[in-house]
Amino acid sequence: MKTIKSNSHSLHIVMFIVLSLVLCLALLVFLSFGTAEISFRETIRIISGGIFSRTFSEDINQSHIYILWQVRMPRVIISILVGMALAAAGTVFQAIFRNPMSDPFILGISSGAAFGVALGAVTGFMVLIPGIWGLPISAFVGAIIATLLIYFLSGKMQTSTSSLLLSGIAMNFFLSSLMSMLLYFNRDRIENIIFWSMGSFSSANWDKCLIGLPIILLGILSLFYFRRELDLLLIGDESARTMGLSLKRVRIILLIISTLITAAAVSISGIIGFVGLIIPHIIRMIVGPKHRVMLPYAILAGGFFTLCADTFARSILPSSEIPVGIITSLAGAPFFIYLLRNKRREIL
Amino acid sequence: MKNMTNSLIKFKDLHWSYGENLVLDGITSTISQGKFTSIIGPNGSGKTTLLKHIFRLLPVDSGHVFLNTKDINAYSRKELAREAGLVPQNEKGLYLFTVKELIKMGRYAHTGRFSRETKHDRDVVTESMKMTSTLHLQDKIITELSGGEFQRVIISRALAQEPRILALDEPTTYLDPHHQVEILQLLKKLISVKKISVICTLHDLNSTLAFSDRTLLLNHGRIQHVGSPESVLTAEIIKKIYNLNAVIMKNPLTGKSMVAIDNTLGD
Repeated sequence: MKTIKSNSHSLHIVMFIVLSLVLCLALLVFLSFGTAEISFRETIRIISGGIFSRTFSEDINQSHIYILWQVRMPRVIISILVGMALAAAGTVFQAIFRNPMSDPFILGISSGAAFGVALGAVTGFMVLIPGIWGLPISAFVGAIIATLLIYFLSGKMQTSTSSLLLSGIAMNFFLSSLMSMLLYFNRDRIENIIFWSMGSFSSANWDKCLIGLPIILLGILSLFYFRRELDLLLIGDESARTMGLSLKRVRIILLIISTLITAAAVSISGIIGFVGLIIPHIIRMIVGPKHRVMLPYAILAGGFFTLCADTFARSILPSSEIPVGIITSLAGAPFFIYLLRNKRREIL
Repeated sequence: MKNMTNSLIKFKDLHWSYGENLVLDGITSTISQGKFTSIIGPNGSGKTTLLKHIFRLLPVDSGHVFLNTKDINAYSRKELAREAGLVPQNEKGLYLFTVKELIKMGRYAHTGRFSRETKHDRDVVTESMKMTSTLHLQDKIITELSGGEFQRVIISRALAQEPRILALDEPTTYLDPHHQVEILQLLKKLISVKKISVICTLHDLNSTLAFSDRTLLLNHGRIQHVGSPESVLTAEIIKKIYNLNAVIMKNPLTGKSMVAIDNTLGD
C-alpha cells in the first residue's frame, strides 16, 4: 500500500484549498435540494443577495428566502460542523487509546453527552444556566463522566481492542438503560428526549450554530497545537515517553478537548455514529498517519461526509426525512465489521 | 572535558516490586561511560525492569537512580530523552508512518512547539539513517519492513535523539545470526565513532563474550556478578545461575572466549 509522500508539503496545501472549495460548492448545490422546489439559480441569487447586498429583488419568493436562510443554511452549516467535530474527535480518541476502533459513538461518549442533555432538560438543571449554554454544558458533563469511566474501565493504558470495545459496549448498555428509565418517568416529554438519542439535523437553527461554531472550531484548532504529541501517541506509551513525551499530561488535555468537541456536536445534533471511526481510518490509508497532514483532511472529509449523508436523509423520501444517524450507521456498521475481521484493526 | 568521572549511571539500593513479586532487590551499581555494558541473567531476573528504571518508566519503590550524578527525578521528560534513547523489545510497529517520519520523531525532545525544522535536525536524521544503513528505506512504510530492518530503524530513531546513552532491550532475540551480528557490530561502531555508551540486555552468552566490555549478571533481582564478560561467565557461574554444564574455550575464529554448553540440564 502506498501513501502520498509526506514531504510534498506544498502539494498538500494546494490539495487542501481545492478540497475546501469543493466543499463550499457542494454546500451551495445541496442548499437547493429539499422538499420545497428552489432551483439552483434561485438559490445562488438568494444566497449572494443575502451576503452581498442584504436586499432581494421583487421577483423572489419571500418564503424561499426564509427557507434558505433560516432553515437550510443553518442546517448545512451544522451538518458540516458536526462531521468535522466527530472526525476530529475520532482521530484523537484513536490516538489516545492507541486503537483504530475508537470512536466517540462506539466508546459510549456520545451517549454520555446525550444522556447529560436529556437529564439536564428533565431535571431543570439546564434552566439554571443562562442563555444557550445550558445545553452544551449538560452534554459536556455527561460526556466527560463517560470518558473517564471508559478510561478507567479499559485499564488506562495500552488498551487492547477487545477490552476497549467491551468497555464501550458496557457503557452504551448502561447509558441506554438510564435513558429508558428517564423516558419511562417522563413520558410526556418523550419527543424531546428521544431527539438526542437519534441524531438528526432537522431542528437546526442559528442558535445551535452559535453554540457549535466556537466550541468546535476552537477545539479543532487547539488539536493542531498537539499534532506532534498525537503522532507520538501512536507509537506506544513507553516508547513515546522515552522520546520525551509527558504522556499523562498530554493524554488528559487531549481527552478533555476531544470530549468537549464531541459534547458540542451531540448537543446540537444528537448522536450520530461511526463518522469518527470511518473518516480518520480512510484518511490515514490515503495520506498516512502524520497528524499535521491527516488532521486537516480528516476534518474536511468528516464535514463533507455528514453534509452528503444529511442531504441524502432529507431528500430521498418525497414527503418526510430519515434521521441522518441512521444513514451514517448504515454506512458505518459494515465498515466496523470489515475492520474487526481485518488485520488492519491493529494498525494506526 | 569535565565529565570524565566515568560514572554515567548509578543505581543506589534500588528496589522495585510488581504486586507481591520483588523484581529488583537492592541494586547498587555503576555503569561507566563510553563502553558496551551488557546486562544478562535468566528470564525474570529483572534485566528489562532495570533498563526501564534508567528511563523513569516505572516509579521507584525505594532507592535512587542517578544520571550524570543528578537524580533521575530531577530531569524533565525531554531532558531525559536528550540524554538517553531506548530501543524497546516490545514495540510492534503497528503504524503507517514512513521510516523517515518515524526517525524524525526522535527530534521531538530537541524542537520547540513552534520552531521549524532546522538544517541540524535534517542532518542528524540523515546521519542516523546512514549509521544504521536505513537511508535506502526512508520512504518505506514501517509495516513493510523485515524484523532486522525494523530494529535498525528503531535504533536510528533513538540516535536521532542525539543521546549520550543508547539502551537496548534484547535487540537480537528475534533476529537470525546474520542480523544479530549486524546489530551488535553497529553498536560497536556507535561506541567508537559517536562515543555513545551502550547498555544492552542480552540472552546469548556468546554474543555477550564477543561484544561487551563489561557485564552485569542479574539473578532474582540482585546483581550476582559484575566485571569483564570473561570474569563473569565462568563455567562455575553458568552452572550456578543457569544450571547448565558449560565449558569456556577459545573461539578459533576470533581468539576470544566462547561458551560451549552441554545439551543436558545441570543436575
